[in-house]
Amino acid sequence: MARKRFLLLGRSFWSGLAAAIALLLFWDFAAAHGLIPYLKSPVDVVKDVSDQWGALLENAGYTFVRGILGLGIGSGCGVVAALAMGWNRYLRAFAAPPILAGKAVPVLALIPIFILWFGTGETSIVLFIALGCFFITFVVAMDAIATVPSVYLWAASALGTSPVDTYRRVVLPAISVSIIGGLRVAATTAFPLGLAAEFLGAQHGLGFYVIKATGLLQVSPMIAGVIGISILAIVADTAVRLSTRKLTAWSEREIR
Amino acid sequence: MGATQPASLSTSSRQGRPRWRINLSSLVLPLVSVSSVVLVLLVWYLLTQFSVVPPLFLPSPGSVMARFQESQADVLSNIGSSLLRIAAGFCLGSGLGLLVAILGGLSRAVRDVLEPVIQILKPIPAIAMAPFAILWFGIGFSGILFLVAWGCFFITVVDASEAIKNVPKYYIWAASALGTSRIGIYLRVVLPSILPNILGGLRVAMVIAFNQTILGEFNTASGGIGQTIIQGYLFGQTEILFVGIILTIIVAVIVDQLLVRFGRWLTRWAI
Repeated sequence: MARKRFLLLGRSFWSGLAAAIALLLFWDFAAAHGLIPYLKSPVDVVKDVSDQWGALLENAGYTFVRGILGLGIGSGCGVVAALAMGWNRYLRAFAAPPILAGKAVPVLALIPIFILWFGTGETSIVLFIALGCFFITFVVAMDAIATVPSVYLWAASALGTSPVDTYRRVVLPAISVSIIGGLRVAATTAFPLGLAAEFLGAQHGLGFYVIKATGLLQVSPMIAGVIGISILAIVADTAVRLSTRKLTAWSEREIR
Repeated sequence: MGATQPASLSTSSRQGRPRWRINLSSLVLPLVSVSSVVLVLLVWYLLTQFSVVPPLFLPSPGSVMARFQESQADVLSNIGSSLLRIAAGFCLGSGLGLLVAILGGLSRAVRDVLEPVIQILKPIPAIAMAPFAILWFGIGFSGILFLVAWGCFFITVVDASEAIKNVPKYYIWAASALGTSRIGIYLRVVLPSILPNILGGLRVAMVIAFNQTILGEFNTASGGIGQTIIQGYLFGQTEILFVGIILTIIVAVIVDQLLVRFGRWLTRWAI
């Protein structure tokens, strides 16, 4: 279907822009008329934050580094563990309870344990993010391995492929699309997880920045912090999507 | 879709083994599954039994159990009030998400107006709304309700809109050829046919509901299992911290499984 274009840009761009302007106008209106309590108008937010860009960026930097470290460690371990445990059905059965829990358990409940065990420093936050990302990628990859179409495996074994080769050259490509989907979920979740951990115990980071502003009832830094964490999540997701697009070009499954 | 446990996807039928082998593995596989839980408990027990880790960091399973029995009434009432918040927020958020998705499916105008707005608000992490929930709604029930509903709404509305777009056209043609009204088509054709597809999203929404509730309870003083956990931490009563976390894990898994069973029952017509 040919998309109608206007000034070289698609319809979705213009409707998105219109929505953004409408939201900003509503935000301004709501702040000016007190529709939403304690809301500052967009202009006021920029004005209030303008003298603390340095602090905002520094804290965003802390959250960014923690998120990237946790994401890398956690999802790396998750994929490796899934590949090791997906090998046969006994190992998969052994991993079934953690998978069951990984799908259902609210990880935020574990933050106090991490602070108790590893203190309020970098270690506890990075490890907590890593745990969250581990479970996301592990569960997705294990599910993908368990649901590789049997036809693929039959075809491979009929052609005399050894189990090791089947795993490397049939199963691994077959689950790559799912794994990338899991990585994208992990990338968008990593920074919010860091934020939640920083709410409870940190001396730096966007979560610390926001919670400090909340305590002082400074609404502008709170809004700036929330916008900052949203941008981090979007950037991470886009980075994972763009960097892995070539890997899954063969797949018919569309990655959005 | 149906099988979520790898254990149930045994390879036995795949390789055409003799029947007695299949029966044997169907006995052995659940035992293997249980063994990983037993292993964790065993390691926990041994670590505390031989004082590898001080009890402040890792209390023994026995002392956690004793602490649970001691403060049973308190902890159970806390998890009860958490479950109430989770259920209310989940129903409000996911219900609203489903409603908006259906309205968007019914009317092109609604879709064109709401879709870009949702696309802009969706990337805001639900966790980041916690300070605003306190700011706008206070530390009581309504603050947590807002927090949970916000989280559940976006995942459900996006999932359900996608599913509605993918409903086979001939379902709708068949229904309208038989004289079903537009509303009737949505209630009796579209809604049932998207259920299998949005079940996964509803499970994710439920986990978000748990997370948001616990996060809200960490920051407020209105009871709930999050309060149990955070107070166990703040007052150095690690047994209580563990009671809270283990109970949360058990309840979350049970709720998730109930949701899956209920969803399967609702979609028992689908293969």
